[in-house]
Amino acid sequence: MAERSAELLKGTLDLLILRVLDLNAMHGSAIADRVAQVTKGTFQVKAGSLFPALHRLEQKGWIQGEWLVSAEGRRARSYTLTRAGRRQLAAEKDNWTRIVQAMNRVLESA
Amino acid sequence: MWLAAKVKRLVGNLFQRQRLETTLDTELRAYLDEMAERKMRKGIAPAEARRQALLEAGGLDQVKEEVRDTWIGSGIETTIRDVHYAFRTLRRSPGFATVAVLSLGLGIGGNTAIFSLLDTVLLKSLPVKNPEQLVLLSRTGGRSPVRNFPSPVFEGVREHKKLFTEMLACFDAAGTLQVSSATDESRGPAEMIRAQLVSGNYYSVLGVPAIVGRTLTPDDDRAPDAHPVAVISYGYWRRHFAGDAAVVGKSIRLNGNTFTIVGVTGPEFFGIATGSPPDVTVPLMMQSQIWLDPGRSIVKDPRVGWLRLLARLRTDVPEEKARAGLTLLFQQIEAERTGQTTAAVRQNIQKLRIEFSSASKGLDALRVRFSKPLLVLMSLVALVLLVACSNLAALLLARAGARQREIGTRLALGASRARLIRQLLTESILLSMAGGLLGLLFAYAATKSLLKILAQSPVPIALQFTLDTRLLAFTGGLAILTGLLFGLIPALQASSPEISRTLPRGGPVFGGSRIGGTWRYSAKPLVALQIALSLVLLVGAGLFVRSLENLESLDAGFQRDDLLLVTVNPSLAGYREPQLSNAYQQILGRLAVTPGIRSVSMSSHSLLSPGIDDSGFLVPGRADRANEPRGVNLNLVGPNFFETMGIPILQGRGPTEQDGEGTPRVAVITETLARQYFPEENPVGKRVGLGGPLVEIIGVAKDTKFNTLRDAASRVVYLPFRQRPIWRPPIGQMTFAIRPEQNLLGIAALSRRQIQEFDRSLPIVSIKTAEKQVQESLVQERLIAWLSGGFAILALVLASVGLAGTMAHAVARRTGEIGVRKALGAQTSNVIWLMVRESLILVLAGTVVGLAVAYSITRIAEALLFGVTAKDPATMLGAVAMLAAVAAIASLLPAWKAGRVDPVVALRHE
Repeated sequence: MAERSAELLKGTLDLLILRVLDLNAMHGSAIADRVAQVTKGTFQVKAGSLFPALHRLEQKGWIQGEWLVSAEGRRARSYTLTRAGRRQLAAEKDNWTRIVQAMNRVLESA
Repeated sequence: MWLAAKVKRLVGNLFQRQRLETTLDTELRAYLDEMAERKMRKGIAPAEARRQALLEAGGLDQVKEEVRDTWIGSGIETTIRDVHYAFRTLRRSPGFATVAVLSLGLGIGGNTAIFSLLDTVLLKSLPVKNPEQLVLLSRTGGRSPVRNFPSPVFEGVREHKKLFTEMLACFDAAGTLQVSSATDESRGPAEMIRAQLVSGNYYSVLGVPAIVGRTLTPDDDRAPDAHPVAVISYGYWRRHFAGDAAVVGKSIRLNGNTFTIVGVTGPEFFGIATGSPPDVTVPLMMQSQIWLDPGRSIVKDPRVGWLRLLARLRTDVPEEKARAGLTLLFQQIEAERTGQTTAAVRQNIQKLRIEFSSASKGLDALRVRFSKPLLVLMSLVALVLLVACSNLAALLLARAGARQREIGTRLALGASRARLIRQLLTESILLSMAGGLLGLLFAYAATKSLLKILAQSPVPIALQFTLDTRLLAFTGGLAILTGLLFGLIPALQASSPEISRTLPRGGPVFGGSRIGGTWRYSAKPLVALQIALSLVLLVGAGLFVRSLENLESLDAGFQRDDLLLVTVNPSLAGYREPQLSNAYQQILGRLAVTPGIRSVSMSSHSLLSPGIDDSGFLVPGRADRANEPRGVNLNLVGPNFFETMGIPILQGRGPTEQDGEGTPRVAVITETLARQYFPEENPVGKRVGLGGPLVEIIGVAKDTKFNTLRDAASRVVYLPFRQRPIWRPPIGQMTFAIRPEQNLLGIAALSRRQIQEFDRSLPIVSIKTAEKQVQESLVQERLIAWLSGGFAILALVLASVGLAGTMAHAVARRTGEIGVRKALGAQTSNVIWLMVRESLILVLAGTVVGLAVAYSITRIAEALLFGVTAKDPATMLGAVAMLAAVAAIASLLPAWKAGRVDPVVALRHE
C-alpha cells in the first residue's frame, strides 16, 4: 500500500474512532481497517496512535472495552460507544462541520 | 464526565494497575498476532511476518508507554516512580545528599525564622473580627499628629454611630503599663505584670469572647473607681491559677487594690499591640488605681490626652465622610471646652483635623521599631539561601558530568528530554523538601532563642512562634522554588542531547577539553556569584558589627563598671506623698550604712532606660532662637548622685543633703544645655525657669546618655529629689545606684534584703548591673550584628566549599594534562600556579561584582548603623581581605593536590 497517509489533525482520530464505533462494536485492528477503508486509504492508523487514542477515549468514559472471542476463536478487546460517547460524537460532529464550513469559506473566497 | 466517575477511574487505575497492564499487554499481543497473520496469508514466513508487524507498530514497549500516558493518574504514577528513582540515586551518594540537605536546611531555616518574626510583627492581622475595618484615630493641626485623646473627647464622639459602627478606647502606654499584682494563691512579694485599661465595649467591638466567665461590658465602665473587675489573659490564668475554671469571682490585688476576676480570654488573643500582651485588662474608669503617674483620676479631665481611639468603620459610609464628620465633632468639642475666647483660639480650632490610619494589624509601636531591621535581615538571609542555591547548582553541574553515561544511555534508549528534566528536577525538589523539613526544625530552635533575646530588651517583646499554615506555606513554597532554582540549569545541562553524543567515545574521558567543549553551562559563574554574594554579606555584617562595637565602646557619660541599679516602685504598693519621699530617704539611709557598699544614691530616671520626663526650659531675658532645640528631660536625684555614678561635675557642685524643701531651689545642667543657653558666660549662679519658681544653677555636669546610647544631645536638668517642680507628679518609682566596696558579688542580695526589711510588700521592679542595662539597651543592635555575622559566615563556608569543589573537579578533569606537563618538565610550582590562576579569576570576578553590589545597596541599612558610613572603606577592605584568605585556603588545597600528581600514575590513568 502506498505511503500516502496524511498527517492526522490533532483530535481528528478521536472523532473518526467515535464515528466508526457508532455503527458497530469493533476491536483495534478492525477500527484501523475501517478508518482506512472509509477514507479510501487517506488515513493509515498505526498502533502507536490507535491504542493511545482508544485508551484515552475509554478513560474519558466515551467508549467501553470488553473481551470477546471472535469467529476464528481469537480473543479480542472490542469497543462499544457509551451514552456519553454518543453525546460527545454529536457535539464533535457539529463542531467539525462548523470548522469545515468556515475553512471552506475562507479558502474559496480568498 | 462526572467527578465521581473520574475519581473512581483514578482509584481503579492506581490500585488495579496490574489488571490494566495485563489488559493492555493481551490487547496489543492480539493485535500483533492478527497483523502477522495477515502478512503470513500473503506468503511471508512466520518469523519475518512477526518482525514486520512489530516494526510497523513501532515497538511494543513504545506503544505501551504512550498508552500508559493516557491513563488518568499517570502523572502521579510517574512522580512516584521518579521519587523512588531519586531516592535510589541520592542514596548512592550520601555525601552529596547530606551536604545539600544541610546547606538547604540552614538556608531555608534561616529564612523561615526571620519570616516568622516578620510575619508576626509586620504582616499578620489582629486575631479579632474583621480587622480590616478598624482604624486608629489621630488628631493633627499644628504640629505632628497626636494619637492620645482626653476622655471627654471619647465620650463626645462614641455615640455618633452614623459615622462608624463602634468606637473603643484603650490605654496601655505602648505596653509598658506595669502594675504590681498578688493573688490569694501566691503569698509572696508583689509581682510586676502588664496591665491595660479599656473601655467597656472593647471586647464586643473586637469580637473577642471569653473562654471562661465573661468579658467586660459597658456596664463595667460607667463611674470613676466604681468597677473593680478584671479580665485576665490566658497566659496569666495558666501561670497563676493553673487553668482553673473556678477562677471567676476570685480576687486579684492590683497596686494594692482588690479587683474581682470576671473572665479569661483565649490563648490567641494578645491585645491590640503586637509583642506586648497585657496580663490583666481593667475598665478605663479604674485608671486612678492602675495608672498612677497622673496622681489622680483623669477619666473626666478634658486636658490630659491619654486614650487611643479605635473605630470600626461602617461599610455603607465612605471613609472620607466618616473622617470629615469626626473632624467636625472634634472641633465642636474643642470649641466648647475652650469657650472660643480669642480669634487665635478659634483659628487654631478650625485647623484641627482627625486622621485615620489602618489598625488592622494593631497599634504600630513594634512595627515602627522593627520593620527596618527585619527587612534588612530578611534580605540578608535571602542572600544566604541564594548562595546555598548556586552552591548546589554548581555541585549538580559537576554531578551531571559524572552521570553522563547513565543519562546518555537513557537518552539513547528513547527517553524524551522533557521526561529526563522532570526526573532530574524531582531529584532536586526532593532534596529541597528535605532541606525544608530540616529548615522548619532549625527555624523552630532559632526563633525560640531569638524571642528569648528580644524578651530582654528594655521594653520587653513577647512574641510567640506558631507553626501555622502561613508559615508552612511559606516554607513549602520556598523549598519548591529553591529546588527549581538550583535544579533547573543542571537538569537542562545534563539532559542536553550533546551529552549523549559523548557516549560513543566511551563514557567519561579525562584529559583535554573534549568534555569541557560540550559543556554549555559552566559551574564557574555560579562560584563567582557565590563569592560576590558572600562579599555583600560580609560587608553588611562588618558594618553592623562595627556599629555595635562603636556603641558598646561609647562613653555613656558615667562609669558603668561595678555599678548596681535597683529600681523600686512604692507607689504600686499604695505609697503617696509624703510617705514616698520618706521611703526613699529611709532606703537610702539603710543602703548607705550596709557593709560592702561604698557609696549609694538614687534618681527618678535610670540612665539608658526608656522613658521621658519632659519639661520646658526658660532662661529669663533670653529670646528663643528659631530652629534651636527646645525642652529638657528632668532627672530628680539624691545626694551624691554624681559621685556615685561617676559623672564628672565640670563647674560648680552637685546637690547635697542640704538641698531640701525649705532651701533655695537649685539645679545642675548638662554641658550641652550650658553651651546652648550660656555660650559666653558661667552658668553657675544663673536662674532658669522650669515652670513654677525659678531655680538657680549650681553646677554643670558632663553629658550623659538619657534613653539609649544612640541619643544625640544630652538635654537633662538634674534637680534634688525633694525639690520636685510643683506641676510634676510625685516620684512613684526610684532607681538606687550602688557602688560596692570591693565587687558586685553579693551586693544584689544584700540590697534586696535591706529593701525588704524596710517593707516586704514594696515592689522591686528590677535589680541589675549598669553593664547589663547597657547591654539590654543594645539588644536590637546585637541581634542584627550576630545574625548578619552568622549569615556571612554561613555564606562564606558555602562559597568556599563551592570553590574547593569546583577546583577539585578541575584538577580531576585535568589530571591527564597535568601528568603530560609534568612529564615534559613542568615544576610543581608551575602546576600549582596553573590551578590557582583558575580560581584567582573567579575570586577576582566575584569580588568586583560583590563590591559593586555592596557599594550600591548598603545605604538601605544606613539608619541602623552607628559611627560608620554605609560605604565605610575599612569595612569593605576588611571583608575583601577575609574573603581572599578563605578563598586562598579553599583553592590552594586542590591546587597542592594537583602539584603532587605523579605523571606516571596520571598517564596510566589515561
